[in-house]
Amino acid sequence: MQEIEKELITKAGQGDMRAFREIYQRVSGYVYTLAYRVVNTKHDAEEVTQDVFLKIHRSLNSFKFEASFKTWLYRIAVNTALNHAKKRSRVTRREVEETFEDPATVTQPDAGKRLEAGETESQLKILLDQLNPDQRACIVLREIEGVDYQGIASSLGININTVRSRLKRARETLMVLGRKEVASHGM
Amino acid sequence: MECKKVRDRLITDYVDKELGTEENTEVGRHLAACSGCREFSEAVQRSAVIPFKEAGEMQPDGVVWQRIQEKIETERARSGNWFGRLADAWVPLLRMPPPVFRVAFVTALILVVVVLAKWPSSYADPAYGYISEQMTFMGELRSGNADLMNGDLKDYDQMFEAIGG
Repeated sequence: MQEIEKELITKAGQGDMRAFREIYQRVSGYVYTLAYRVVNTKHDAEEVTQDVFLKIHRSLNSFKFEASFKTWLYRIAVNTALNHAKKRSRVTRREVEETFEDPATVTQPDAGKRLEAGETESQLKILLDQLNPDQRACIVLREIEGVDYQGIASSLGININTVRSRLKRARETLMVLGRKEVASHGM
Repeated sequence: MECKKVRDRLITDYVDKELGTEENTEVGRHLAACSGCREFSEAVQRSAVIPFKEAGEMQPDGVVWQRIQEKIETERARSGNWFGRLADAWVPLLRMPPPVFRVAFVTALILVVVVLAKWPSSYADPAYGYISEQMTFMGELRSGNADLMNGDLKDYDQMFEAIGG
């Protein structure tokens, strides 16, 4: 994602809707993609995107330029998406606690077979669906956005060791799924 | 370095390039010598790293911007009148989790009970002030306070009369 010029941010903060729309056009793809990876459905990703831009609009006039706009947006987007995913998980009772010792327990029984048919997008969706929202946010930030451990920790308000353990568990889960896929190909 | 320790690094810091130079070299040396850990490292790449490399960027539908614009206009209209501002001030309270309401309710209840319990004796009863004054006087009298004896004897007589003296 490219940085947004200070002048444009200031104008949008003063209520200029054209400036705000320009910002939306430049970063909405980034926000929507990040949201989609974390919440994993189009409808929820749209809701998160809407919430993120409303939050930005409400607080742009108090943006101090101490952090970069990109970092600020990043933090709002990932936390809004994560909160949405957690709320949704509580409702559907599908949340898998990361305290589980055996990563195999978080893998859906037929997920290995379902991977065969997938294209990149649906494959990613299946992979991310194996993880709980916290693990998903860490994997998305690390693997897709290329954020380092310190960046993930400060975006999510957690310590580096928690980042490390969430990534470890997430990858163990994905490896179990990978092994199942290899096994089903071999049959 | 033991295989278990190496694999812990392979699945996190090593693959994410977060290891220091020395430890990185050590893991690399172990990998060159251990086929089990090499296989493990390849599996990490295959299942948990490579699939995400081709993830592209998506764009939201046009309807998302329309909804955002509508919400912003509604918010602007609300903030333009006093009723909307008043209603907005209450919204955060309504969004508070139920335990906050419970604590607030119990605190308010305790306050009401305390105030009601104190009110009749301290403020509502007109005789309270008079009795309290008399008790202070009697105490002073018993202690032989000379100042009081030299004071206004009219007050003294009234007070003495009140206690039936």
